[in-house]
Amino acid sequence: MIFFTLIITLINKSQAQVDDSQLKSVLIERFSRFMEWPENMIDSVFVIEVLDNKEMYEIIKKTYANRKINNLPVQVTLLSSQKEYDHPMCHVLYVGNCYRENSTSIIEIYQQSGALVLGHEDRCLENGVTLAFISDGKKVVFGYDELALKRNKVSISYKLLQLAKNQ
Amino acid sequence: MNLNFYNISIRNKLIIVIQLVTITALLVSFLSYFIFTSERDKQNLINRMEITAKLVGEYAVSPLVFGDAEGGTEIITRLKSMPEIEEAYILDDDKDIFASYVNDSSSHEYHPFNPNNSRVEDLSIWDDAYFHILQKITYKGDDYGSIYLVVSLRPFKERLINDLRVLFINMLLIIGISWVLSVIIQQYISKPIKKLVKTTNEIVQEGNYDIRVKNQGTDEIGQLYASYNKMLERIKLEKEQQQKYSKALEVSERNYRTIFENSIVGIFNIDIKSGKLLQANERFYEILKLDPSRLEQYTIDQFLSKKERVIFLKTIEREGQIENFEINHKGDIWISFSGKRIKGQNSIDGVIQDITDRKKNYLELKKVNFELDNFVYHASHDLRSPLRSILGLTNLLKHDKPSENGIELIQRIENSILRLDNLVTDLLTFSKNSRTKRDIEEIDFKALMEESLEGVPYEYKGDIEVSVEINDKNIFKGDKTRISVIINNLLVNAHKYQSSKRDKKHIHIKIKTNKKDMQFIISDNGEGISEENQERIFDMFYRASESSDGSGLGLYIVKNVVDTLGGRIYLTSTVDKGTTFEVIIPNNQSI
Repeated sequence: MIFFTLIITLINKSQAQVDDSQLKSVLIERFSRFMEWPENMIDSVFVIEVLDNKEMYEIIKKTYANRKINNLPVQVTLLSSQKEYDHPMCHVLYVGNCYRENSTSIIEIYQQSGALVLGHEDRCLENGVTLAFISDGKKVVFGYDELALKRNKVSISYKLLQLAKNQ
Repeated sequence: MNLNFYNISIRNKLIIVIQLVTITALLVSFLSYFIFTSERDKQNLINRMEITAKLVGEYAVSPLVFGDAEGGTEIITRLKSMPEIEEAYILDDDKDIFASYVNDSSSHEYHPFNPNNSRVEDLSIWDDAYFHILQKITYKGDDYGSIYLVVSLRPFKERLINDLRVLFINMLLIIGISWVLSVIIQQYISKPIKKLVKTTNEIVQEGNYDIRVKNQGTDEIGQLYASYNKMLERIKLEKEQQQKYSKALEVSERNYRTIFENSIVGIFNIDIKSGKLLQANERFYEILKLDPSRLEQYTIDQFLSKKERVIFLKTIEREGQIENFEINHKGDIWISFSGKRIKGQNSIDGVIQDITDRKKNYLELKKVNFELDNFVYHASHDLRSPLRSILGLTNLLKHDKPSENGIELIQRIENSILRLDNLVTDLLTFSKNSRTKRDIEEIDFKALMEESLEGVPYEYKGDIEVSVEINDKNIFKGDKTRISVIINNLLVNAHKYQSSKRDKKHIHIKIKTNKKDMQFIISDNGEGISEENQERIFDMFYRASESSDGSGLGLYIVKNVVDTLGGRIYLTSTVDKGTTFEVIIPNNQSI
C-alpha cells in the first residue's frame, strides 16, 4: 500500500497553541471545499457522523455550532449502534477509533454511500479510510489511500491531493 | 551623365525592373511575414503566460486554502523551467506575498505588487522590456489570491532580431540569385532587340535593304522580326519603284528643261496678283530684250502697256486663257502672247512668239492686196468705157446694111464684147466687196426682190414661173448692196440654168426674217449640179455647166460676200431635178 501524506502547517498554530483535535475539526471544513458529493446526497444540511470518539464528537459539534460548511448548517451525530450505520446518509464519516470491531465493513459501507471517510490517525489508513490525519510534531499532516480513494464515491479534487508527499 | 531611364540600355532596364520587382516583393513579403510572426509570437507569449498563470493558480489553490506557503513556493519554483519568467508571486486574498520566485537573471527592478492597491484585477501589461500578467486565483467561485508573473521580453526580442537577421540574409541571397537569373534571362529579350538594332544600323549605314533579320521563334519578338522583314521588303520595292519614278521624272524634267531652254518660243510664268515674272526661258528674254539676271525685278509692266495688261488679265480672268494676243513692243517688235491660268494656282503659264517678220509680211501683203484691188477696180472701170464705145460702134455698123456675113460677124463681136463686159462687171463687184466697208440699213425685202426680178436679163426670163414668199415682219438690218449682190447672182443663175427639156420651169423664192438672222432660199427645177461639181462650185473662174457663158466669178463672189457678212451658204442639188441654195445672213438689228 502506498501512502501519501499531506503536510499542513497548522494555521496560526504557533500563535494560538490550538489543540490537534480542534485543528482536525476545523480542517474538515477545508477538506469539504475540495469534495464533490453524489447528487443524491441531502442538500439541506451538512451531516458529519463521528464513529467511536465522543471527545471528537463534542469538539466537532462545538466547532460547527455556529459555522456552516458549503453554506449549509452542520449536523453532527455520534454513531454508537449497528443499526445507525446500516443506511448511512451523511457527508463525512469521522472514524475516531480504528481498532473497533468490524470498522472495515462500516468504512466500506460509508465509502459506497458517498460519504468522505476521514480517519482520526494514520493507522486508520490501514483499515481502509480515504483520508487520515497524521500527527507529526508541530505539524498536522494527512494522507490518503489510493485504493480507498477509488472505492469512495465522493470525488476529491487533485488540488487537495497534489499537496501530499510520499512518505 | 544623364540618368534618364530612357537612356539606359534595354539589358540594364530589364535587370533593374526584375531587381525592383524582386526587392519589392521580398520587402513586402518579408515585412508581412515579420509583422505576422512577431504578432503571432507576441500572442503566443501572452497565451502561454496566461495558461502558465492559470496553471500555477490552479495548483496554488490548495496551498492557499491550507496556508501551506512551502507548498506554494514549491509550486511557483517550478517556473524555473521557463527562463523568460524572471519573477513570479502568489498573493493571498489579503494581497500579501504568499510565495515567490525570482530568477537569477532578474534585475529586481519591479516591485511585484503594490499591496495598497486593493483594486487589482486581472491584467496584462506590455512595456518595453517586460510583460506583466496578474491573474486572480479562484476556485468554485471563491477568490483565494492572485498569481503575478514578470516576463522578460529579452528572449522574445532576441528571437525577433534573429528572425530579422535570417530574413535579411535570405533577402540578400534571393536578390543575389535573382540578379544572376535576371542577367541570364534578360538575354532572351534584350538579345533579339539588340540584334534588331544592329541590323537596323547596318541597313542605315549601308543603305542595303536586302539584309534580313533571322527569325527564331513565333513569340512577339518573332512576329516583330517577321513584320520587320516584311517592312524591309516593302521599303525595298518602294525604293525600286521610287528610283524608277525618279528616273522617269529626271528624264521628263530634262526633256522639259531642254524644251524650255531650247524652245524657239519664249516660255514664261507670271504671278497673277503681283504681275511678277516668276520664271522664263532664254528665248523669252531674247525676244523682249531683257536681262535674265534681273528676273526678280521684272513684272508684266515691262512688256505690256497699261491698256494691254488690262485686256490680257481680264481675258485670262474671263476665259481662263488667251491666244495670240498681239502687241507692238517698243515700236519695232511684234509679239504674240498666249497663256493659260494654272488650275489651283495664281499664276499664268504662257508662251510668246516674235511675229515681227510675219506681221511685216502681213502688212506688206495687205498693202499689195489693196493696191491690186485698186488696180483691178481701176482697170475694170477703165476697160468698160472702150467696151461700151465698141458696142455703140457695132450698133452703128448694123444700120449700114452689111451683108449677111457681115451681120453675123458683127453679132459675134457684140457677144464677145458683152461677155467681156460681164467679166469686167463681176470683177468690179468683187473688187467693190473687198474695198468698201459694210453699210448697215433696214432692208425692205419686197422692194429688193422687185428690183432684183426686174434686173434679170430679158433673154433669161422665158416661160419660167417665179413665185416669191416673203415674211419680213421682223426688222432686218444689213448691208443692202452686198445682200442684193447675193440675191441677184443666185436669181440670174436660177433663170440661166433652166433645163430645156422641162415643160414647166419654175423658181421658188422664200425670204424669212427673225431677230437673229435672215433666211433666203431659192429653188429651181433646172438642170442641177453634179456632185463632183458641187465641191468646186464656189471656186474662182469655175464653170459647172457647159452651156454657161458666164465669167466663172458669180458664185465665187456670192461666197465671198456671204463670208464678208458673217453668214453661211448651203447647196443641195440633183442633176436634171433642180438646185436649192440657202443663205443665212446675221441680223444687225442692234446696230
